[in-house]
Amino acid sequence: MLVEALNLVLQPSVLLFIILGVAGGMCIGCLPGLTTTMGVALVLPLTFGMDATQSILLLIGVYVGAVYGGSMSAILLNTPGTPASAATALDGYQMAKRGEAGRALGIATTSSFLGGVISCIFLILISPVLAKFALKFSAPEFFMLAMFGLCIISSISGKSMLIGLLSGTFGILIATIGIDDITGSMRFTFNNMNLFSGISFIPVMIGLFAMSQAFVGIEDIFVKSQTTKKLSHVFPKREDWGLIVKNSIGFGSLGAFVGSIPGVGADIASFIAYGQAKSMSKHPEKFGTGLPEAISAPEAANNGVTGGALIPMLTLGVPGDAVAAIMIGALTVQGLQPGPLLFQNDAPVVYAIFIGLLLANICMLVLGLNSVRLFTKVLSVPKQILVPIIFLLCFVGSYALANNVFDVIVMLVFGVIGYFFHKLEVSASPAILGLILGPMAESNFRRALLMARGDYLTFLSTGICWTFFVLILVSLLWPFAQKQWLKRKHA
Amino acid sequence: MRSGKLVLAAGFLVLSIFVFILSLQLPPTRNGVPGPATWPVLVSIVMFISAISLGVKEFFKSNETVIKIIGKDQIRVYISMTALFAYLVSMMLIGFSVSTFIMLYGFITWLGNYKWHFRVICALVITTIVYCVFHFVLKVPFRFGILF
Amino acid sequence: MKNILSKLIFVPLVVAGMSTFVNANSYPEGPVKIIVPYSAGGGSDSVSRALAEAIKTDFPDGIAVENRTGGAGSIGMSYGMRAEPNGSIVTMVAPELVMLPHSGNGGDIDYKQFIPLAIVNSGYAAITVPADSAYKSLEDLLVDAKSNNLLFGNSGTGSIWHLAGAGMQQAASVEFTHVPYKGSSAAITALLGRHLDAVSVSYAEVANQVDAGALRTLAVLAPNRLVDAPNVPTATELGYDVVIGTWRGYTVPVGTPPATVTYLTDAILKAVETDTFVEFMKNTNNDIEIIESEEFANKLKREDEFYKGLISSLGLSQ
Repeated sequence: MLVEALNLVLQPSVLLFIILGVAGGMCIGCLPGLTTTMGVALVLPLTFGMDATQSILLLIGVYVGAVYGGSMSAILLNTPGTPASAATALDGYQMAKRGEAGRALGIATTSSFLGGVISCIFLILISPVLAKFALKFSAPEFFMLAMFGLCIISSISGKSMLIGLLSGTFGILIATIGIDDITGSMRFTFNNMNLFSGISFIPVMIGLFAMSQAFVGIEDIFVKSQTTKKLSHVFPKREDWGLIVKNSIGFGSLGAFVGSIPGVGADIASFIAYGQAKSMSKHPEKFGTGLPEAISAPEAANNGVTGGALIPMLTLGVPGDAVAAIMIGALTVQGLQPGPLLFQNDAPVVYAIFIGLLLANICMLVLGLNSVRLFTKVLSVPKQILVPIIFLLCFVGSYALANNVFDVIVMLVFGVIGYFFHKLEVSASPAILGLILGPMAESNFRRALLMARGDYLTFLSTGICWTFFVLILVSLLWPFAQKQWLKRKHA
Repeated sequence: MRSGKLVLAAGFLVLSIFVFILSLQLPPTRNGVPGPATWPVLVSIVMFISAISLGVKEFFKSNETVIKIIGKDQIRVYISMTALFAYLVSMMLIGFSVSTFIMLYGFITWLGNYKWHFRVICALVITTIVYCVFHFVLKVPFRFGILF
Repeated sequence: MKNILSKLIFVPLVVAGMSTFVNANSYPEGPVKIIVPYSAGGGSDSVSRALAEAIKTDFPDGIAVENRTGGAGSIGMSYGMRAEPNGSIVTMVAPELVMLPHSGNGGDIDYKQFIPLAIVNSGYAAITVPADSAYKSLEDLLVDAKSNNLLFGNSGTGSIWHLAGAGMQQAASVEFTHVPYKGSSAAITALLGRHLDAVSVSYAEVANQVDAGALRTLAVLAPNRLVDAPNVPTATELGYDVVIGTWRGYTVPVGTPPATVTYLTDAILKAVETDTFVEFMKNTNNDIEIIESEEFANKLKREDEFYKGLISSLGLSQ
C-alpha cells in the first residue's frame, strides 16, 4: 500500500506541482484580499486535466502555502494576508518594528512547519476517532465554542479591556447586517442590495489593518523608519527553539483538533491559540509587545488546521472548511468519492494525500526560510513608494474578492475608521474576532433553541458543552486568580 | 487623549442606541426561539454599558496626553483619504489603468522627491505588474469606465 | 495630451457606434463572460466552467466564467440583467431568480428582464434520513411527523431546499421544525451526527453518503425516478404531489439581438452533448437535463407563481 502511494507521489510531475502549489499559495496568501479559499478555487480549474494525485496535491500545496503566506505580510507590514494570520500580526509586527523581522519570520516559518507536521500525524494516526468526535458537535456545542472564542477579546484588547469590548461588540454588530440566517428576515440592510448577504469581513479586515496602516504610513512618511538590521539569522536561534517546539506541539494539536470540527477554520484556531498562549504565559502583560511565543502559537495553530480540515473530508466526506469543500469537488471531478468508501476503494490515493501533505509542509519550510530574505526586501522599499503600492493592493484585493466595487467602498470606509481607531489606541483585532465569531455564536444560539424548542438547558446538555463552560469560566477568572496569586507570593 | 476617548465612548454610545432602536422594528421572538432582534439587542446593551463605563472612567482621569488630530501630518492623511475616494470615482468613470497610473504618479510625486522620469517609470511599472497579475493570472475583471 | 483628448472623444463615439451597427453575423466579437452569481469552487461555478470549456470552440475571442457573488445570488443576477444586451454577458440563473423577489431579498432582479437560452442541469430534492433511522419509508416518516415534531434540516431559510421541505410538509399536511444551516453540507454533517431527523437537500449532495451506507434516501421530489437512484420512489408515486428542484440555466438580458440569442442557444445545446461535459457532469453527480428556450420561459413563469404561493404561505414574504 505504502509502496503504491509512494509511487504515486514520488514522480517529478507531482513533486513539481507540490512545489508550485506551495509557492503560488505563499504569494496568494501574502496579498491581502486573496484568501486561502480563493487561491484554491483559482487553481481548481487547472486540475481538471490532471490525474487524481496531481490535482489534489497541487491543491493541498496551495492550501498549506497560503495559510503560511499570510504571516509574511502580517509580520512585515502589519497587514494580515489572510484572516488566519490576523493574530500573528499582533506581536509579529511589533517584533519587526524592533528590527527583528528576520527572527519573527523564522519563528513563524518553523512553527508553521511543525504545526503542519503535527496535524499531519494526527491525520494519519487518529483521524477516524477525531472525525467521530467532531460529528458530536451540534448547535449548542458550536455556540459554546464560539463563546469560548469570544472570551479571547479580553486577551487581545491591548491596554484597555473596556475599549476591547467596544471594538469586539462593534465587530459583532457589523456581522449582524444582512439577511438573518434563521428567519430569513432583513436586518439593518436599508434596502441596499449589496448589504443583503452582509458585509464580507475580508474588506473590513483589509480596511482596518492594511489601509489604516498605510494611512499611518502617510502620517509619519517623513519620520526616518528604523532600518532593519542586517538579517543575521533567519533560522531561529537556540534560545527560541525550546519555545517553538513546545508551542508547536501544543498548538499544532489544538489546530488539528479545531480544524477537524466542520465549520471551524484557521482564523478561529489562531485566535484561540493566541488567547491560550497568553493565559498560560508567565508574563501575559508582555503580549502585544513582540513576544516570540505570541507568534509561534497562532502560526502553529493555523497550519495545524490544514491537516485537521482534511480529517472530516477524507473519513466522512463532509468538508471541514471552505477549502476542503473545493477539494471534495476536485476529487469528485476525478471520479473519486471522498468519504468512508475512499479508504476502501482508493487507499493509495489516501496515503498519497498523507505523504503529499507532509511533503508540502517540508516544501513550505524550505521555500519559507529561503524567501524570508526576499520578502524582507519589502521593508527596504522607500515608504514614499511602498505606501501608494499598499493603497493599490488594498483596492485591487478587496475588489478581487467578489468582483464587486461595493467591497472597495467598505474597505475604504473601514480604512478611515481604522485610522481613527489607531489614533485612539483602539485595537482592531477584537473587531475582527467579533466579525468571525459573532455570526457563529448567534446562529448556533438560535439554532440550538430551535432544535430544543426553547429549552435553554440545551447549552449544558452534553459533556462537550460542560467542558466549554468550564473553559469559559477558567479563562475569564484565570487572570484575576493569577494576579491574586502573584500578590500573595510577593506579600 | 482624554477628550478623544470621551468622543470614542460617545460614538459607540450613539451606535448602540441606534442599533437598539433599529432592532425594535425587527420581527419578534416566536415559540421561545429568539427572533432576529435578540442578538443585536444583547450585543448593543453590552456596548452601551462598556461605552458608559469608559466615559465615566475617562471623565475622572486627569492625565492629559494630547493626540494630534489636526497637525500638518494629519492633514496629509485626510488629503490622501480624499484622494483615494477620488481615485475610486475616477476608476469607475475613466478606467482602471489610467486612474491607477495617475494615482501612483500623484502620490509618489507628492510624497517623495524623485526625478520625473523615475516617477513615470515607477508608476508605469507598478500599474503594469498589478494589472497583468490580477487581470491575466488571477482573472479579475477590470472593465470600468470609458478608457481602460 | 492631445492624443488622450482625442481618445476621450473618439472612443465613446466608436463604442456607441459599434453597438448600433454590429450585425448578428459578426457575433461573437470580443470575449464573452458567463456571470456566475455564486462563489468559485461551488456547484454552479464548476458546472459553468465545464460548460465554458466545452463551448469555447464557438468563441474565438474566448469565453470565461466570472463570479459575482453576494445576496444569495441576487447581486450577480442583477449585474447580468443590467449588462449591455449584446451577448457579451451571459448570466447563469437558478430558481433563486424567481424565489428571492417574493421574500423581498431579490433587490431589483426580475425574470422578465432575461431572455432564457437553455437549462443544462437540474437536481431534485431528496428526503434523506440516517441509515440507522427507524424510518424505512416516506410513509413511516410522515406518520411519525403527525404526532412528533421532526427536525428537518435545510440549506438556509428561504433557500430552495427549505422550500422543498416546506412543500413536502404542505403536501402531506404535517408540520416539521425546519432547521436552517449555512449551506447543504452543514445540514448533511448535522444529519450524519444524528442531530436531525431528516434533510431535504438535493440527491446529488447526499449521493456519496447514500452509496457509502451512511444515509438513506426515502423519496425524491422529482417528476420521474432519478437515473442515479432507480430504487428510490418519487413523492408523486407515493401519492404526494410535490416536485421541487434546482436547475442551472443561462440567459441574456432583454434586448439582445435575436441572431445572437440563436447563436448562443445553439452553442450551448451543442456543448452539452460533448463527451467532456457529459463525463464531467456524471463524475460530479450532476444530472444533465436540457430544457430549451421556450419551455425554459414557461418554467420560469410557472415557478414564479408556485414560489410566490409557497413563500407567502410560509410567512416568509415581506
